[in-house]
Amino acid sequence: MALIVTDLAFAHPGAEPLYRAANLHVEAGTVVGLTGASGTGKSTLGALVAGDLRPRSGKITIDGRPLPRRGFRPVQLIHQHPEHAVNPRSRMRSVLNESHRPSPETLERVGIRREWLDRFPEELSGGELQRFCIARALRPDTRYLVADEMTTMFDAITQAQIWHTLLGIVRDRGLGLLVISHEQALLDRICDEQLPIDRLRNPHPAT
Amino acid sequence: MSATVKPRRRAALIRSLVLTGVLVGAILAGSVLLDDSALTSSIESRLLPPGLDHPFGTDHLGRDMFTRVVKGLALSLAIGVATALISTAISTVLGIAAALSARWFDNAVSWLIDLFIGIPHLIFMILIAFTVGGGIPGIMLGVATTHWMALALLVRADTKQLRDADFVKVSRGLGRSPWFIASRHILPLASPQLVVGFVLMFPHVVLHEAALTFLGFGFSPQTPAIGILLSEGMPHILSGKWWLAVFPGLALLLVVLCFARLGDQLRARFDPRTANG
Repeated sequence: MALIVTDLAFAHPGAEPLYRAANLHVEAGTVVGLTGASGTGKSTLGALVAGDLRPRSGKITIDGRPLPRRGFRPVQLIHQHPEHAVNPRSRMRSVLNESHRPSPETLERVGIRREWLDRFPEELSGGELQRFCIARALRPDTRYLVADEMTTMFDAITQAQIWHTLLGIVRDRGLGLLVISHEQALLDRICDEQLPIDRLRNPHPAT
Repeated sequence: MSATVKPRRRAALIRSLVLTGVLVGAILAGSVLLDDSALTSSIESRLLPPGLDHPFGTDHLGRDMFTRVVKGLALSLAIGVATALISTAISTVLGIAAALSARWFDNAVSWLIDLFIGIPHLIFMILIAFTVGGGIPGIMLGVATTHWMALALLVRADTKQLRDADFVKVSRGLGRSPWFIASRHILPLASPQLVVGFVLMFPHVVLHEAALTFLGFGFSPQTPAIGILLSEGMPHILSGKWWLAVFPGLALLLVVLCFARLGDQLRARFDPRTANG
């Protein structure tokens, strides 16, 4: 049971190939960190793994099955900017229900207050919005999560609260989690395994 | 934008809304309240100049021109709203579908837009109205099918931008259909553009409806439409019966200007980057 990326190649239109033959393995129930400087293609890999971008070649399988091109994708991406990840014209209840109807216990665990459900995104803080994005991503059939600089924009206390909540849920449900971040201290603290992005981009460096 | 410009723009928008609302209300109320007996022929009162009994004078059959103008404007408003709605619907459906569908469909819509823009639209309108047989269906179809392109281009461009927004990507990842994405995410965010497009399209539609009727491809001569009044009044201008063409023309101009101004101000309110004023 794993998210497996095999020989993945990708290039942005008109640019040099970003990945030529990238391989990645995220076991269900583990937390894998993807490290590297800004602009080195970490978010692109996250988008590829979540199905937002299509690779030129290579294979992405989820528990042995190819990543579906249509319908619900069992790999859910949590974006860096939650204010961009929710429709500004939708109330938060409708944002959540676009995915599923989380139980009151789940909402409480993620830290969403009942009165926030009737608000619009602009009436909530970034940390509060990110909790909604996490709850939305946690559909019962979600198998893997990609957290792309998920808490970079928040203060230390909010960061700690959000990670504490998410890691608890990930462990309880046996989900695989790919954490994309350039914060080494965070990765050291939460990841079972870390992968430098350079190793994915250039798997066979010249000696 | 400076601090004083914004309240000034808002006040101008409110003024335009009130003025247009009062004008539309007065036309609709007038068309219901004015007695149809003023439209019956009367030999004694033919071609009377404007006066207390007949503020806009009477025509060559002795019918009250004020009643004819008010009823003609009411008809123009009704046809204008329906036609502009059809045209806006065509723009919306094609614009959104082109941006969200496969590339071949987008190319096909682009080709269709270029084709319709490339043909002189008055000729196209006349052809369509003539083919349908004139009357209300001819006018509505002729005008609606020749006025959707500019708004469709705008909606398509807006949808392409929104298509790449994070919340739309999330929606796709959650397995939501293009129909859901269009109705829940694209339409609510594109609606200000649609309202502006509709209001700006309306004066064009009313003018073209009058033009088609004036040229003989629109309403039947018995209908009290503004185009009919203008075409009937034009020959009398040279013989000094100026009121037969001037009052219907001024009334049409007033309605068109009110809606055009309201449209410009709504555009400035919703999308200040593309507005001139």
